[in-house]
Amino acid sequence: MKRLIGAIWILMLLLAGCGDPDDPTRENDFVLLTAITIQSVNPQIAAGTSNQFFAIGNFSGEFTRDITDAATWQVAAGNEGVLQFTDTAGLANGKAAGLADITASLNGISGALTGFVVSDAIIQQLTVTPATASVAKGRRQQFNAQGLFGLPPDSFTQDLTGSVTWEATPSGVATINAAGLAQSVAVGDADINATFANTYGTKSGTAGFAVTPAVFDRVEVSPATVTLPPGETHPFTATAFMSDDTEQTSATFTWSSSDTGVATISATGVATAVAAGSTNITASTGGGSGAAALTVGTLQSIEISAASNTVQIGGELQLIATGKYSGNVSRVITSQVNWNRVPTNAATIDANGLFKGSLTGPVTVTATLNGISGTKEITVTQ
Amino acid sequence: MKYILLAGCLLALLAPAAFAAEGGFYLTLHGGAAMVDDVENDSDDGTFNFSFDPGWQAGAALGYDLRDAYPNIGSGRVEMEFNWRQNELDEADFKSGDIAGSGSITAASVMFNTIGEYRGNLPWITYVGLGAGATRITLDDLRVADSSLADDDDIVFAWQVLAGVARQLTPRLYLDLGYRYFAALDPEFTDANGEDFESEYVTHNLTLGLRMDF
Repeated sequence: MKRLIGAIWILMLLLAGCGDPDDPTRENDFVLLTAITIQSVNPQIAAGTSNQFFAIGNFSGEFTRDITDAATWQVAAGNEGVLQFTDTAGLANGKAAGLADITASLNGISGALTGFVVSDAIIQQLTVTPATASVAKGRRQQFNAQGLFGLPPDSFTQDLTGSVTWEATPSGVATINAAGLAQSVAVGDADINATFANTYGTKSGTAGFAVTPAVFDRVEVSPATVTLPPGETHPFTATAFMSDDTEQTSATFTWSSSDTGVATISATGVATAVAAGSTNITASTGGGSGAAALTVGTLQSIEISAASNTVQIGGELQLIATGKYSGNVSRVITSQVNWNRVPTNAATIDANGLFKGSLTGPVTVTATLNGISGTKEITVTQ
Repeated sequence: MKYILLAGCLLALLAPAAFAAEGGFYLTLHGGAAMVDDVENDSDDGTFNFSFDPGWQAGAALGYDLRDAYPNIGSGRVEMEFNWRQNELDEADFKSGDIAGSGSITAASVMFNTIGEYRGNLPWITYVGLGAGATRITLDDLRVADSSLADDDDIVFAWQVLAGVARQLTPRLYLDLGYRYFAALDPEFTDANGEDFESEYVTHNLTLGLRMDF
């Protein structure tokens, strides 16, 4: 009896562990927000630059969550000339030197940050990093700008990547966007210039950007995905691209299949489906390789069609067998299937599906391949 | 449990001895432990999960024992069962993590069971059965960190699989030890924020009961 009870409890515990829920995706919006703390990327900023603030919500002391996007951001009355929010997600611009009090509010709860400094310190140095960079034609490089403001001991540094004006010269070699991302255009050397200017000063910094000839980048195999029935062949093509997206016409490829039991591939890239399954068809060249996915479908059903459902005695009717494969692929398999009919003396069918009636009445025709069958009824009339 | 045993003994004493157990109507009272599988709730804002403490269940069934009267059907019973299950919320799991909860989930059900029995030479009668019916699932003042989470109910289709053993104590009285897998079909509730969510309810139950033939 004790063993029985024990066994039942073990069964209950095992079953209770079955089917655990997936990880939750919903935020806890039931527990009350009780406090908001404001955090700043920079402890202070120079006038004319921007700063990202974050609002961290405390929910009844149980957990904290970033509510920056949900909060309403405000600069205290009288401080609007110092700091101004440029979006609803805590990004603010320092307009002029001074102190600013800000608040973030949500669901009637507010958090405050008082005395945030927008400095009138003069920029002393602007450093662009990396100082030199070299990329192959077609590739990109991120540059950053950092400013040093004021004099010791009150000096401070600030990331100015988004606050400077970027310029690449000559523009025929490289271009650069407002976020400091340089795009190589042609082989050569370019200067990357960053300029910061506000009411209190101006400073520039420079980095070198060398664009070298394009290099091998990737191999693309086409088509990227294909589904075939067993026995069918399909050609793949491969193209090698350089870093500037031009074609490497001299590339030669070696083809391989990750599962030759599913499909084989010839030296010229023609795949032959062998058996149901999936395999990767890879084209390799000296610099690298690319792949496509080949799925060999499983025969799931056979449909028999004909121009008519009736035929006269002595008349002929061509039957067509269509195989339906997994992967939503259909193929005519009339000459591959085994044809049969019931009653056998009412008609004949040859290996190519040609039906000939000999006795009046219904005849059930069956087409079979690999254990899968399809049927159709043909009526033989006088 | 003490009251169930007392009630069963009382019924056994009151039943006339002349009605020997040869099939016919019977009454079952049972109670025991109930464990709820962790629950995944699905709402428009995403999913969140509940886990519940082990709880209890109690029930009564009025049925008819076919015994050997219907050899074409076989040996077994049919019954209508009333059942009550309750478990306390242990914690709720959200994207930001687990949080301790309070409140309970209850399921009051009416089930129609068919039970097949095997009576061999052993003193124990083994049985398995299937049941179907309806259940009212109630989320009773579910709270997290003292904030309301849900307080709602729904009536849905329910089914169960039961198995166990029974021992004949007297000609009319059986002691019954059983297991029940009880599941309800996707109850739907409204949370404290007014948003609808689809839930789950699956329990594993270990029961001890007394069955008395009339």
